[in-house]
Amino acid sequence: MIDRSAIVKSLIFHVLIVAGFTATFPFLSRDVAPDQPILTVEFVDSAKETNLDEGVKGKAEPKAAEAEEETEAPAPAPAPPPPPPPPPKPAPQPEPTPSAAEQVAEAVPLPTPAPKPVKAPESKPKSAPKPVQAPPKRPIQQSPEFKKRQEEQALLTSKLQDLTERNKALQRQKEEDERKKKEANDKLAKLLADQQKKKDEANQAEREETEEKMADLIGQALNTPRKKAGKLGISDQDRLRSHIAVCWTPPPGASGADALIVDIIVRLNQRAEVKDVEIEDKARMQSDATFKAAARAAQRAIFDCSPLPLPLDQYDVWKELPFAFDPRFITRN
Amino acid sequence: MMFLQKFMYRFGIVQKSMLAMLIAALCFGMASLAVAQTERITITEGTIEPTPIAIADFTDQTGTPGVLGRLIAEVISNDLDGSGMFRPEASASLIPPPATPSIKPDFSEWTPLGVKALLVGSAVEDENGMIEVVFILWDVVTEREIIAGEGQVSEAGLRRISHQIADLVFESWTGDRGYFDTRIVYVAESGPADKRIKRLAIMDQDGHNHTYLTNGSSLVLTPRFSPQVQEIAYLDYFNDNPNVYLMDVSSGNSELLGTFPGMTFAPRFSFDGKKLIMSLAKDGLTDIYEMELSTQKLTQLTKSPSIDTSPSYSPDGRKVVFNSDRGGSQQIYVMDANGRNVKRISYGKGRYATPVWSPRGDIIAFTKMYKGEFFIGVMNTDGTGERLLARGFLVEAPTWAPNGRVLMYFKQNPTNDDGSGGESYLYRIDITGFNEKRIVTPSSASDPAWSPSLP
Repeated sequence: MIDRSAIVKSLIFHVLIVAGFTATFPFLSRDVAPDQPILTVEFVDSAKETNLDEGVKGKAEPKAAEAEEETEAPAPAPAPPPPPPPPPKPAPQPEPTPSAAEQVAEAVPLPTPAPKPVKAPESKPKSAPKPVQAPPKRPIQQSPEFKKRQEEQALLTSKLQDLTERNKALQRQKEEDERKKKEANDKLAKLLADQQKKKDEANQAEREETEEKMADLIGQALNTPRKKAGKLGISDQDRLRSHIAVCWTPPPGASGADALIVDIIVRLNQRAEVKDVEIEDKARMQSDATFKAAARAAQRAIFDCSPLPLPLDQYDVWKELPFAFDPRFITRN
Repeated sequence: MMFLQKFMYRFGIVQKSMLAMLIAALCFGMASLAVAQTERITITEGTIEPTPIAIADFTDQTGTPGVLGRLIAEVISNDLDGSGMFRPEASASLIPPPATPSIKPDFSEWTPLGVKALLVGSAVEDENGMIEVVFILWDVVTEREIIAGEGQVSEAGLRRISHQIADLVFESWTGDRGYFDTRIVYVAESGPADKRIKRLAIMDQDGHNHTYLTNGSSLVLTPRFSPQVQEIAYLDYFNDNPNVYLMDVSSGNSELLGTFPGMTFAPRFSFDGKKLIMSLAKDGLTDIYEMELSTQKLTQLTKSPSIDTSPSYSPDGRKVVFNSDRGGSQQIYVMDANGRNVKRISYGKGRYATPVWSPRGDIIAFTKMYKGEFFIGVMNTDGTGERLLARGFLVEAPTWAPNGRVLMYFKQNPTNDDGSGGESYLYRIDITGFNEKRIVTPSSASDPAWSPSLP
């Protein structure tokens, strides 16, 4: 007897388990590193000269990145030891100067904003110190001592007022500085918040993208039995081959008794321009001059043929491609 | 089993076949998600063409091309062009090179020429009359330095240092050793038809610095260069006897090694320069003999009723290739250096002669005669891969360049009934069969021999 409900149950469980498996597989694939959003950092300087403590000279200080100096263009290789007479020994020493000609990436020095001149604290017009006067009472015959004392007192009072004024001014200055510092901090905090927001947005976008991909994959898994995702099509490969054949001139020695097949990995940018050509057998580059010449010829072929004819909408499929250059066609006839 | 049954019952899976289907579905799901990577793309076709190269005139102390610098560039250019591997771009001289080699060139000026390589350098004379030469070879496509070097010479040594720079350029680009700092010795024939004289002559491989080594008073044949020192062994029919002489090239002095009646080819040197190998006819039998140069002691290597002749050592000294008619026709055989293990390696139609082992040890060049025509060819040391490179009415006597990639031989025109004709010319060809090129000589030339790289 066929039990209907059992079949339904079993079908549901089938689907669930399959869906469960397929849902988890995308997490096994590599994450695409998000392109770093360009950080624009605006430097705000705080007044450099203050009498305040070090705590103020904080984060707002502009940091000038040091520019790396280009290494000087290669000086000619040191002369070989003096020739032994009589036959002149003119043999030049082959010295491949290692990457002296390659320029070190120089960080452009960030402009140091000229420190703004410290503004003298605004001087309020000083109100003339009010002379302290003893309230006029009945005219007392003032003794000279008393007068002196009074004068001294007046002087002290005026001095005191001076100090008070100065103190007030300093206080104001301090407040001004605090205000500025707070302003700078606020600005910085806002900038950071903005960046964080952008980052979050990017992450969100990426997450959504990944979710979409997942949905796609699940859909595909459920619909199509087998799909060769992530592989360059045959016609694309053929096109690549004939494109590169025109650019490749292997050295004839490479076709000798032990054919020199060169394996390389080519990395491309999104416009299919060649970024980098990596020769896989690095040890052989050092030890075998004939292999080195063949490898250099393969490198030249790839760079010469850049950009490569590739479908721009499938960047993930071909951003890194392995090649093998086989020179045996030279002696095949 | 119990667990399995419980499991199945729990999930309402009635039959084992359904469980199997479930598992299959899971595997299917897993497999469908396997992300396939692109397999390695193999490039199996390319172009064989000379590499376009820009050779800039070398600059002098003013930072502009000087007289010496132009000479250097010309010698290098001719060398590389003659090799067939490079195509020097003539319009390169229109672009001002960097004032000194230490300045990186502006590649945007050179790429419109379509060149893949750029050679720049300087030649500056100092107060003693010595010339300081510096060079750098650039890869124009990747904008990287390939090789650089320097040296000091007198003006007389300028051609040699140019050849040496050409060697380095050649080697760093192709992976093969260059052959430009070498000389050719050959037999020069001149004079009126009724009084022909044959003299030994020597010249740089590019034809310069041509000198006669003998005066033509006696018949000279088949000169051979020693692989180690600047010495030439040759046959001289002085007093109508075949004498083997050894000449020191720098002094011009000759020493008699011996008189060998019945000898028709001059001996060949072993690669260490210590032995000579030759064929001698004794009592009607022609066999192969070896002579130790220091003791002048002769050792017989083959003992057969057939004609064994024209022997040549392998570079490691362990084997000897020669031709013999012991199989019924003239064919090529290889044996151990002590005469044992004789093995035939040629099986093609025609007659094979003058086998010569390449200095790289990987191939053997030979002359072949078939249906009235002559050919120069190469084959692997086991006889496979036979390829004919050149043909002519008479082409003979291949000699190897020291890098084992170029052959020189001579071609002779037929002699007419009235005695005219019969001129011979030296030719050079790459072992891929490309780039056959005639070497210009003052007069008729035959029997070339290639020197090793000069020390």
